[in-house]
Amino acid sequence: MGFVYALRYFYVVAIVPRFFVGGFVIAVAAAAVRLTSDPTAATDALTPVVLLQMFVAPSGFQLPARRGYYDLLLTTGPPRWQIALAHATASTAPGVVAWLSISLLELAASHGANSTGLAAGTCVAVASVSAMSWACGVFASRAASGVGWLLLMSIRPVARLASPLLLIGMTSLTTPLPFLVLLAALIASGVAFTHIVLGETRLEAAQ
Amino acid sequence: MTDVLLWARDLGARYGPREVFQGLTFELTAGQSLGIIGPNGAGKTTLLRVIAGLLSPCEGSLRIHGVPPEQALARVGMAYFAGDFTLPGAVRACEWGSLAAGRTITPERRRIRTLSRGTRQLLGLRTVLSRPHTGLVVLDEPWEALDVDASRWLSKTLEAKRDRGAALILASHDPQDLAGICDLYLLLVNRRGTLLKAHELSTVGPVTPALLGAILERLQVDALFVHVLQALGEGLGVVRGRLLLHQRLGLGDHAVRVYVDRADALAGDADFAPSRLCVRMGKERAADEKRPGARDELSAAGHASSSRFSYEWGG
Repeated sequence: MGFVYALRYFYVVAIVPRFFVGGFVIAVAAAAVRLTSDPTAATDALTPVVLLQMFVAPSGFQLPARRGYYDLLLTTGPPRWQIALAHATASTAPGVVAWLSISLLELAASHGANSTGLAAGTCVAVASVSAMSWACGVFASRAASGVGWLLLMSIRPVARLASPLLLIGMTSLTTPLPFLVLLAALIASGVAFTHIVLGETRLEAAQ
Repeated sequence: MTDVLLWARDLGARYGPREVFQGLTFELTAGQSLGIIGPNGAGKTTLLRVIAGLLSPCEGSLRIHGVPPEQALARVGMAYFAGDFTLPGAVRACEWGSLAAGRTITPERRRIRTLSRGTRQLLGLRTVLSRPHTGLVVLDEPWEALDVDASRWLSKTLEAKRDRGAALILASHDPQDLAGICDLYLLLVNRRGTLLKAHELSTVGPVTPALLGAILERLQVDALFVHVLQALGEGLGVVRGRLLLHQRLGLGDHAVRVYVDRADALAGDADFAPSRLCVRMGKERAADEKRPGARDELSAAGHASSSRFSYEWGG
């Protein structure tokens, strides 16, 4: 019950603004049009979804909490771990749903012949971006997290090794680096999760 | 001890190196109400957030139903509200109002940021107080920005909650807000708290320097200004030609100044019976500054106006 209430709370508070959801809808619609004519274009169709997820998943926790926006939720009684789980779910769900939708569209358009959307590289890319972005967003603002990703991808040597966009569509991962990135993202998520569960919620106005 | 809903022992809080308060000890039973009063920056909001389980104390302990606050939240049914600025402005009022009780409490569809401050405050209060099975109500400056009708509604709602067994913890920098509602008062001054029962603050009769001295000693404050006002109630008319009796009480190293206003006071006659007594500390902005001439009197007394703290008691 606490998890459902927390999900509803984050929906009402709109931690993912409606225009971002609209962005995913447009991306999926564009993908549907593209995949209908070219079932092999899933990589192109998924790239904007992963990019958008870099800005959507870091929906922020500490900053709004310090403004008191989550006081009602935090004092209503759901266990903190359920609140953290609901926050992660609400933050990453739009991107994950868009990714799955495009993957299913690809399967349908290619009659099961292509599954770029569900390839190992794509799964690692979506998981890494979702987990790392959400974790960063717990501590920093959406803009800071998004700009961090862009910086990472604009530094060519780093991007060549760790850019999630390059992983999209890769069926076999020959180097352990993507998994290390995913591991780092999961560790960061664990830290963020622990922060929500155990951390204090200071009020900006009371310090 | 079985009736005790909440207790605190030697409670202390700090932000980094800055100590907010220390050594707070109090307890509250179901159906009791505690007023937390103190000047701006005394730590009222911080104390409420510790009670609400949003902050951890740096020392001492706090228990609600025998467990730390964060574990007691669901069990006790807490209604906590820190002020209108804690409402997310982008949310529609009707959606926010339905979050606590699961039902609509207002048909207002405008976004919160477009509402007036008083309406936002009322929305926040109505939302948290609409929760069923509320056992502990924790409100920070709840009367702030409310109009007369809303204030009356809030007072009646709080009294109804208290009568149904809920404990109330209300913070205000203006003790007049809390008059008649609270059984206990926790005065937060200079990082320390003094617990006073309501009847202790209902002195009727002569207020003597000895009594004032005892109050000051209990408050343990430095730079405390005690401002005793002659009753300005009906029948007495407007006090004219006030005589300012400036008395300095020696309490250790603390410099305490006592101002006595009374129409017919005689210099040296410190035995008087005011029906209202105001304790002011720090740089004061007296409520009665609005009276003609009052500002000049305060200025003459050497006060800069910036903040005030007052407590009134008596008939």
